[in-house]
Amino acid sequence: MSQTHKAELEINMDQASLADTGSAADFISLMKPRVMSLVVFTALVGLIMAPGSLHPVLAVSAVILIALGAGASAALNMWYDADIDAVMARTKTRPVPAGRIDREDALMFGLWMSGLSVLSMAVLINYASAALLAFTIFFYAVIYTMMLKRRTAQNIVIGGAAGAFPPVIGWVAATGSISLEPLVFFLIIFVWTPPHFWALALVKNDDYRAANIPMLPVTSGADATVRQILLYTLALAGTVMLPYLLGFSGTLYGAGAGVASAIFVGLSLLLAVSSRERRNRIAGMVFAYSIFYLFIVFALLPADRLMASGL
Amino acid sequence: MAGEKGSQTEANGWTPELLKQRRRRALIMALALAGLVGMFFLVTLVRLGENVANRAL
Repeated sequence: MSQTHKAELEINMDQASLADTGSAADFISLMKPRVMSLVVFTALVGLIMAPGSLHPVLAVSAVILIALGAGASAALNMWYDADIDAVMARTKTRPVPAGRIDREDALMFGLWMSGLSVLSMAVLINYASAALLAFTIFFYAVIYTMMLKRRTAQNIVIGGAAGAFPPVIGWVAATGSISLEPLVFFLIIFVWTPPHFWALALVKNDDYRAANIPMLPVTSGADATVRQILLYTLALAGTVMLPYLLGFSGTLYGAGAGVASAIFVGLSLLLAVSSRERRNRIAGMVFAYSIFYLFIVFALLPADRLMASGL
Repeated sequence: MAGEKGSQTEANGWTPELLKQRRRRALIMALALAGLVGMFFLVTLVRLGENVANRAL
Protein backbone atom coordinates (compact mmCIF):
# COMPACT_ATOMS: atom_id res chain seq x y z
CA MET A 1 0.00 0.00 0.00
CA SER A 2 1.43 3.40 -0.96
CA GLN A 3 2.01 5.99 1.77
CA THR A 4 -0.48 8.40 0.12
CA HIS A 5 -3.21 5.77 -0.03
CA LYS A 6 -2.55 4.76 3.59
CA ALA A 7 -2.81 8.39 4.75
CA GLU A 8 -6.06 8.84 2.80
CA LEU A 9 -7.49 5.71 4.38
CA GLU A 10 -6.56 6.92 7.87
CA ILE A 11 -8.25 10.27 7.21
CA ASN A 12 -11.39 8.50 5.92
CA MET A 13 -11.50 6.26 8.98
CA ASP A 14 -11.10 9.29 11.23
CA GLN A 15 -13.92 11.07 9.45
CA ALA A 16 -16.16 8.00 9.63
CA SER A 17 -15.64 7.71 13.35
CA LEU A 18 -16.41 11.41 13.75
CA ALA A 19 -20.09 10.54 13.40
CA ASP A 20 -19.69 8.69 16.68
CA THR A 21 -19.42 11.83 18.77
CA GLY A 22 -21.98 11.28 21.50
CA SER A 23 -20.68 11.98 24.98
CA ALA A 24 -20.87 9.46 27.81
CA ALA A 25 -23.83 11.43 29.19
CA ASP A 26 -25.60 11.06 25.83
CA PHE A 27 -25.18 7.28 25.93
CA ILE A 28 -26.48 7.23 29.49
CA SER A 29 -29.55 9.26 28.50
CA LEU A 30 -30.06 6.79 25.62
CA MET A 31 -30.84 4.26 28.36
CA LYS A 32 -33.67 6.41 29.83
CA PRO A 33 -32.22 6.48 33.37
CA ARG A 34 -35.44 7.78 34.97
CA VAL A 35 -37.48 4.88 33.60
CA MET A 36 -34.62 2.58 34.54
CA SER A 37 -34.78 3.72 38.18
CA LEU A 38 -38.40 2.52 38.49
CA VAL A 39 -37.46 -0.76 36.75
CA VAL A 40 -34.56 -1.29 39.17
CA PHE A 41 -36.76 -0.51 42.17
CA THR A 42 -39.58 -2.88 41.21
CA ALA A 43 -37.08 -5.63 40.28
CA LEU A 44 -35.40 -5.18 43.66
CA VAL A 45 -38.76 -5.55 45.41
CA GLY A 46 -39.37 -8.76 43.42
CA LEU A 47 -35.98 -10.05 44.63
CA ILE A 48 -36.59 -9.08 48.27
CA MET A 49 -40.10 -10.54 48.37
CA ALA A 50 -38.98 -13.89 46.93
CA PRO A 51 -38.70 -16.76 49.42
CA GLY A 52 -35.27 -17.90 50.54
CA SER A 53 -32.18 -15.78 50.45
CA LEU A 54 -30.01 -14.83 47.52
CA HIS A 55 -26.36 -13.99 48.17
CA PRO A 56 -25.97 -10.17 48.14
CA VAL A 57 -23.39 -10.35 45.32
CA LEU A 58 -25.83 -12.33 43.18
CA ALA A 59 -28.72 -10.00 44.08
CA VAL A 60 -26.74 -6.87 43.15
CA SER A 61 -25.54 -8.53 39.92
CA ALA A 62 -29.11 -9.49 38.98
CA VAL A 63 -30.37 -5.93 39.55
CA ILE A 64 -27.47 -4.45 37.52
CA LEU A 65 -28.18 -6.84 34.64
CA ILE A 66 -31.92 -6.08 34.71
CA ALA A 67 -31.03 -2.35 34.60
CA LEU A 68 -28.71 -2.98 31.62
CA GLY A 69 -31.48 -4.89 29.85
CA ALA A 70 -33.93 -2.03 30.48
CA GLY A 71 -31.34 0.43 29.15
CA ALA A 72 -30.81 -1.73 26.07
CA SER A 73 -34.52 -1.78 25.25
CA ALA A 74 -34.67 2.01 25.75
CA ALA A 75 -31.78 2.48 23.29
CA LEU A 76 -33.54 0.26 20.73
CA ASN A 77 -36.73 2.29 21.26
CA MET A 78 -34.83 5.54 20.64
CA TRP A 79 -33.21 4.06 17.52
CA TYR A 80 -36.56 3.06 16.01
CA ASP A 81 -38.51 6.14 17.15
CA ALA A 82 -35.93 8.77 16.12
CA ASP A 83 -38.27 10.13 13.42
CA ILE A 84 -41.24 10.70 15.74
CA ASP A 85 -39.03 11.80 18.64
CA ALA A 86 -37.76 14.62 16.40
CA VAL A 87 -41.33 15.92 15.96
CA MET A 88 -42.31 15.95 19.63
CA ALA A 89 -41.21 18.81 21.92
CA ARG A 90 -40.84 16.38 24.85
CA THR A 91 -38.42 14.11 22.99
CA LYS A 92 -36.69 16.20 20.33
CA THR A 93 -33.70 16.91 22.58
CA ARG A 94 -32.98 13.18 22.98
CA PRO A 95 -29.49 12.26 21.70
CA VAL A 96 -30.56 10.63 18.40
CA PRO A 97 -33.08 13.23 17.09
CA ALA A 98 -30.79 16.04 18.33
CA GLY A 99 -27.97 14.53 16.21
CA ARG A 100 -25.57 13.87 19.09
CA ILE A 101 -25.63 10.10 18.50
CA ASP A 102 -25.93 8.35 15.14
CA ARG A 103 -29.04 6.22 14.68
CA GLU A 104 -26.91 3.20 13.78
CA ASP A 105 -24.78 3.72 16.88
CA ALA A 106 -27.92 3.71 19.03
CA LEU A 107 -28.98 0.44 17.36
CA MET A 108 -25.59 -1.20 17.89
CA PHE A 109 -25.44 0.05 21.48
CA GLY A 110 -28.92 -1.39 22.15
CA LEU A 111 -28.12 -4.74 20.51
CA TRP A 112 -24.78 -5.17 22.29
CA MET A 113 -26.27 -4.23 25.64
CA SER A 114 -29.18 -6.63 25.07
CA GLY A 115 -26.81 -9.50 24.28
CA LEU A 116 -24.51 -8.65 27.16
CA SER A 117 -27.27 -8.37 29.76
CA VAL A 118 -29.12 -11.53 28.70
CA LEU A 119 -26.00 -13.71 28.33
CA SER A 120 -24.56 -12.46 31.63
CA MET A 121 -27.89 -13.15 33.33
CA ALA A 122 -27.82 -16.72 31.95
CA VAL A 123 -24.23 -17.33 33.07
CA LEU A 124 -24.32 -15.55 36.43
CA ILE A 125 -27.90 -15.95 37.70
CA ASN A 126 -30.12 -18.53 35.96
CA TYR A 127 -31.54 -19.40 32.54
CA ALA A 128 -35.16 -18.66 33.46
CA SER A 129 -34.45 -15.04 34.44
CA ALA A 130 -32.27 -14.60 31.34
CA ALA A 131 -35.10 -15.88 29.13
CA LEU A 132 -37.56 -13.51 30.81
CA LEU A 133 -35.17 -10.59 30.41
CA ALA A 134 -34.72 -11.41 26.71
CA PHE A 135 -38.49 -11.62 26.26
CA THR A 136 -38.98 -8.27 28.04
CA ILE A 137 -36.46 -6.54 25.75
CA PHE A 138 -38.12 -8.15 22.71
CA PHE A 139 -41.59 -7.16 23.92
CA TYR A 140 -40.66 -3.51 24.48
CA ALA A 141 -38.53 -3.06 21.36
CA VAL A 142 -40.48 -5.17 18.85
CA ILE A 143 -44.05 -5.72 20.09
CA TYR A 144 -44.57 -2.27 21.67
CA THR A 145 -42.22 0.07 19.78
CA MET A 146 -42.34 -1.45 16.28
CA MET A 147 -45.76 -3.09 16.16
CA LEU A 148 -48.17 -1.34 18.54
CA LYS A 149 -47.09 2.23 19.22
CA ARG A 150 -47.93 3.69 15.81
CA ARG A 151 -50.91 1.42 15.05
CA THR A 152 -53.40 1.25 17.90
CA ALA A 153 -54.78 3.33 20.75
CA GLN A 154 -54.35 0.20 22.87
CA ASN A 155 -50.55 0.52 22.39
CA ILE A 156 -49.87 1.36 26.00
CA VAL A 157 -52.40 -1.15 27.39
CA ILE A 158 -50.70 -4.14 25.75
CA GLY A 159 -47.22 -2.59 25.73
CA GLY A 160 -47.51 -1.97 29.46
CA ALA A 161 -46.59 -5.64 29.95
CA ALA A 162 -42.96 -4.77 29.15
CA GLY A 163 -42.74 -2.48 32.18
CA ALA A 164 -44.53 -5.03 34.34
CA PHE A 165 -41.94 -7.79 33.92
CA PRO A 166 -39.04 -6.47 36.12
CA PRO A 167 -40.42 -7.62 39.52
CA VAL A 168 -41.12 -11.03 37.93
CA ILE A 169 -37.52 -11.19 36.65
CA GLY A 170 -36.30 -10.23 40.14
CA TRP A 171 -38.38 -13.01 41.68
CA VAL A 172 -37.26 -15.60 39.11
CA ALA A 173 -33.63 -14.51 39.58
CA ALA A 174 -33.96 -15.37 43.28
CA THR A 175 -35.98 -18.57 43.01
CA GLY A 176 -35.57 -19.92 39.49
CA SER A 177 -39.34 -20.43 39.34
CA ILE A 178 -42.57 -18.48 39.14
CA SER A 179 -45.55 -18.36 41.52
CA LEU A 180 -48.66 -16.33 42.30
CA GLU A 181 -46.91 -13.41 44.04
CA PRO A 182 -44.81 -12.16 41.07
CA LEU A 183 -47.86 -12.51 38.84
CA VAL A 184 -49.74 -10.16 41.18
CA PHE A 185 -46.82 -7.68 41.05
CA PHE A 186 -46.98 -7.93 37.24
CA LEU A 187 -50.72 -7.27 37.29
CA ILE A 188 -50.32 -4.17 39.49
CA ILE A 189 -47.86 -2.51 37.06
CA PHE A 190 -49.87 -3.72 34.04
CA VAL A 191 -53.07 -2.04 35.29
CA TRP A 192 -51.14 1.05 36.51
CA THR A 193 -49.53 1.76 33.12
CA PRO A 194 -52.55 2.98 31.07
CA PRO A 195 -53.75 5.73 33.48
CA HIS A 196 -50.10 6.79 33.97
CA PHE A 197 -49.42 7.20 30.24
CA TRP A 198 -52.85 8.53 29.31
CA ALA A 199 -52.43 11.33 31.87
CA LEU A 200 -49.15 12.22 30.14
CA ALA A 201 -50.80 11.89 26.72
CA LEU A 202 -53.49 14.39 27.78
CA VAL A 203 -50.83 16.95 28.70
CA LYS A 204 -48.77 16.26 25.55
CA ASN A 205 -51.72 15.76 23.21
CA ASP A 206 -50.45 18.26 20.62
CA ASP A 207 -47.09 16.46 20.53
CA TYR A 208 -48.67 13.05 19.93
CA ARG A 209 -51.04 14.46 17.30
CA ALA A 210 -48.14 16.15 15.46
CA ALA A 211 -46.20 12.87 15.49
CA ASN A 212 -49.32 10.96 14.37
CA ILE A 213 -49.18 8.53 17.27
CA PRO A 214 -52.64 7.09 18.02
CA MET A 215 -52.66 7.71 21.77
CA LEU A 216 -56.15 7.57 23.27
CA PRO A 217 -56.63 11.38 23.55
CA VAL A 218 -55.71 11.68 19.85
CA THR A 219 -58.03 8.91 18.62
CA SER A 220 -60.95 9.21 21.05
CA GLY A 221 -60.65 12.68 22.58
CA ALA A 222 -60.03 13.97 26.09
CA ASP A 223 -63.48 13.09 27.49
CA ALA A 224 -63.14 9.40 26.64
CA THR A 225 -59.57 9.41 27.98
CA VAL A 226 -60.45 10.83 31.40
CA ARG A 227 -63.25 8.24 31.70
CA GLN A 228 -60.78 5.46 30.88
CA ILE A 229 -58.28 6.85 33.38
CA LEU A 230 -60.94 6.75 36.09
CA LEU A 231 -62.00 3.19 35.19
CA TYR A 232 -58.41 1.92 35.17
CA THR A 233 -57.66 3.70 38.45
CA LEU A 234 -60.67 1.97 40.05
CA ALA A 235 -59.45 -1.37 38.67
CA LEU A 236 -55.98 -0.58 40.00
CA ALA A 237 -57.37 0.21 43.47
CA GLY A 238 -58.78 -3.35 43.52
CA THR A 239 -55.66 -4.94 42.05
CA VAL A 240 -53.23 -3.43 44.59
CA MET A 241 -55.27 -5.00 47.39
CA LEU A 242 -54.56 -8.52 46.05
CA PRO A 243 -51.32 -9.01 48.07
CA TYR A 244 -53.32 -8.22 51.22
CA LEU A 245 -56.39 -10.26 50.22
CA LEU A 246 -54.28 -13.25 49.14
CA GLY A 247 -52.42 -13.14 52.43
CA PHE A 248 -48.85 -12.43 51.38
CA SER A 249 -48.91 -8.89 52.76
CA GLY A 250 -50.26 -7.58 56.05
CA THR A 251 -52.07 -4.62 57.55
CA LEU A 252 -49.36 -2.03 56.90
CA TYR A 253 -49.47 -2.80 53.19
CA GLY A 254 -53.26 -3.06 53.08
CA ALA A 255 -53.81 0.26 54.87
CA GLY A 256 -51.04 2.12 53.02
CA ALA A 257 -52.03 0.86 49.58
CA GLY A 258 -55.69 1.61 50.39
CA VAL A 259 -54.93 5.25 51.30
CA ALA A 260 -52.62 5.72 48.28
CA SER A 261 -55.32 4.28 45.98
CA ALA A 262 -58.04 6.48 47.50
CA ILE A 263 -55.93 9.56 46.64
CA PHE A 264 -55.31 8.25 43.11
CA VAL A 265 -59.03 7.57 42.55
CA GLY A 266 -59.84 11.01 44.00
CA LEU A 267 -57.43 12.72 41.58
CA SER A 268 -58.83 10.75 38.63
CA LEU A 269 -62.35 11.70 39.68
CA LEU A 270 -61.29 15.35 39.89
CA LEU A 271 -59.82 15.00 36.38
CA ALA A 272 -63.07 13.47 35.08
CA VAL A 273 -65.21 16.36 36.36
CA SER A 274 -62.72 19.17 35.66
CA SER A 275 -63.34 21.91 33.11
CA ARG A 276 -61.39 21.96 29.87
CA GLU A 277 -59.29 24.87 31.18
CA ARG A 278 -58.14 22.99 34.28
CA ARG A 279 -57.86 19.56 32.66
CA ASN A 280 -54.21 19.74 31.61
CA ARG A 281 -53.06 20.94 35.02
CA ILE A 282 -54.91 18.13 36.82
CA ALA A 283 -53.71 15.56 34.25
CA GLY A 284 -50.16 16.69 35.09
CA MET A 285 -50.93 16.08 38.77
CA VAL A 286 -52.35 12.61 38.01
CA PHE A 287 -49.20 11.75 36.02
CA ALA A 288 -46.85 12.94 38.79
CA TYR A 289 -48.88 11.20 41.49
CA SER A 290 -48.99 7.94 39.52
CA ILE A 291 -45.18 7.69 39.72
CA PHE A 292 -45.22 8.38 43.46
CA TYR A 293 -48.07 5.88 43.85
CA LEU A 294 -46.20 2.99 42.22
CA PHE A 295 -43.14 3.77 44.31
CA ILE A 296 -45.20 3.79 47.54
CA VAL A 297 -47.09 0.57 46.72
CA PHE A 298 -43.86 -1.30 45.92
CA ALA A 299 -42.05 0.19 48.93
CA LEU A 300 -44.89 -0.96 51.22
CA LEU A 301 -44.44 -4.61 50.20
CA PRO A 302 -40.95 -5.11 51.75
CA ALA A 303 -41.76 -2.63 54.56
CA ASP A 304 -44.71 -4.79 55.57
CA ARG A 305 -42.55 -7.93 55.37
CA LEU A 306 -39.95 -6.25 57.57
CA MET A 307 -42.57 -5.24 60.13
CA ALA A 308 -44.07 -8.73 60.17
CA SER A 309 -40.63 -10.20 60.85
CA GLY A 310 -40.52 -8.16 64.08
CA LEU A 311 -38.24 -5.28 63.14
CA MET B 1 6.03 17.22 16.00
CA ALA B 2 3.20 17.29 18.53
CA GLY B 3 1.91 20.58 17.14
CA GLU B 4 2.00 19.14 13.62
CA LYS B 5 0.02 16.11 14.80
CA GLY B 6 -2.49 18.35 16.60
CA SER B 7 -3.13 20.49 13.55
CA GLN B 8 -3.48 17.36 11.39
CA THR B 9 -6.10 16.05 13.82
CA GLU B 10 -8.01 19.32 13.70
CA ALA B 11 -7.85 19.22 9.91
CA ASN B 12 -9.50 15.78 10.08
CA GLY B 13 -12.34 17.31 12.06
CA TRP B 14 -11.26 16.20 15.55
CA THR B 15 -11.43 19.39 17.59
CA PRO B 16 -9.89 19.38 21.10
CA GLU B 17 -13.44 19.29 22.48
CA LEU B 18 -14.31 16.16 20.47
CA LEU B 19 -11.05 14.49 21.47
CA LYS B 20 -11.77 15.24 25.13
CA GLN B 21 -15.27 13.81 24.71
CA ARG B 22 -13.86 10.66 23.10
CA ARG B 23 -11.28 10.21 25.87
CA ARG B 24 -14.00 10.57 28.52
CA ARG B 25 -16.24 8.07 26.73
CA ALA B 26 -13.38 5.59 26.41
CA LEU B 27 -12.57 5.99 30.11
CA ILE B 28 -16.17 5.32 31.15
CA MET B 29 -16.32 2.32 28.82
CA ALA B 30 -13.10 0.98 30.38
CA LEU B 31 -14.54 1.46 33.88
CA ALA B 32 -17.78 -0.29 32.87
CA LEU B 33 -15.81 -3.22 31.46
CA ALA B 34 -13.68 -3.40 34.59
CA GLY B 35 -16.90 -3.40 36.64
CA LEU B 36 -18.26 -6.26 34.54
CA VAL B 37 -15.05 -8.25 34.98
CA GLY B 38 -15.23 -7.59 38.73
CA MET B 39 -18.85 -8.75 38.81
CA PHE B 40 -18.00 -12.01 36.98
CA PHE B 41 -15.07 -12.57 39.36
CA LEU B 42 -17.16 -12.02 42.50
CA VAL B 43 -20.04 -14.19 41.29
CA THR B 44 -17.57 -16.93 40.40
CA LEU B 45 -16.17 -16.77 43.95
CA VAL B 46 -19.67 -16.96 45.44
CA ARG B 47 -20.75 -19.85 43.20
CA LEU B 48 -17.49 -21.69 43.75
CA GLY B 49 -17.81 -21.20 47.52
CA GLU B 50 -21.37 -22.57 47.48
CA ASN B 51 -20.36 -25.63 45.47
CA VAL B 52 -17.33 -26.36 47.65
CA ALA B 53 -19.41 -26.03 50.83
CA ASN B 54 -22.17 -28.26 49.46
CA ARG B 55 -19.99 -30.99 47.89
CA ALA B 56 -20.33 -34.59 48.95
CA LEU B 57 -17.53 -35.65 51.29
